[in-house]
Amino acid sequence: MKAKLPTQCPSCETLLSVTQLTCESCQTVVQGNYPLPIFLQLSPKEQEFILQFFLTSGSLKEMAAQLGISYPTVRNQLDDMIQHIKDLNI
Amino acid sequence: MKKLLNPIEFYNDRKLLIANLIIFLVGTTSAVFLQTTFESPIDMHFSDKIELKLTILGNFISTLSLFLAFFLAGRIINKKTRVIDCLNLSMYFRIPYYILAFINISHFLSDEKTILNIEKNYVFSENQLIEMVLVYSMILFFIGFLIIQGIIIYRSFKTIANAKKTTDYLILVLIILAFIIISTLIIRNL
Repeated sequence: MKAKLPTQCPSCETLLSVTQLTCESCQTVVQGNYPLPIFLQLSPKEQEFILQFFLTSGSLKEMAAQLGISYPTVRNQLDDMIQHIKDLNI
Repeated sequence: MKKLLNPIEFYNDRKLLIANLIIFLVGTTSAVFLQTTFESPIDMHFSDKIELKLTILGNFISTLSLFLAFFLAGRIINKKTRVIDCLNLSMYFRIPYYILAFINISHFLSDEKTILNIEKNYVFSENQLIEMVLVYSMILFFIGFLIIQGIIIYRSFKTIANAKKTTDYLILVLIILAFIIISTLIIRNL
């Protein structure tokens, strides 16, 4: 089973940051405080949307056909995500 | 049920437009033969004779005014609102009216005697009572029908214009009301 990357603190719901990275080959451990990239701060559904958007070369029509929903529905999802990302940046 | 209440969310816009256009033409034709006239986008009447001009132009103006209302409200809320989606919603909204016109298939509601019998006789015979029950059931049915129409507009407009706020729907309601008044005035002066 692929473990889901937690992005929020289960206790206070604040955004988590990366403090430790490990090399699986030589077990070197790097410690620090690295903020999560914006892509990882998005929900799995939003990440999947971005991936699909990229794979269809940014064609919302093609995405709509692949997902079996209409063009305005896909466009609304994209608009909502843009707004979400703008909010995350602030 | 979800797809029936908001087809714009699920179906391809061009396929939906073709289906809506066919239904519009068939619906208008059947409304002519069923002696149905449309005096506003949310109104229908049964005439005692075929009113070709009033039915065709009434239906066309009603659909057009709905389209303009959705498009204007949509553009105010979201600049990305498309013509085809508003056209689809306005034509889809009118479909139940074409189906409702079939209530008059035996021209029962066009018959003036039915209405006069109900209005003039204080002592009802069994038949008149049945007619009255039928008429009042239809009024109740029409209220339920208008509620469903409201749900269709609410859900579809959400998809068309990505409307979320209460003010978005307030704008829509005000614009629809304005267009209902304008279209009624135009159709009555035909």
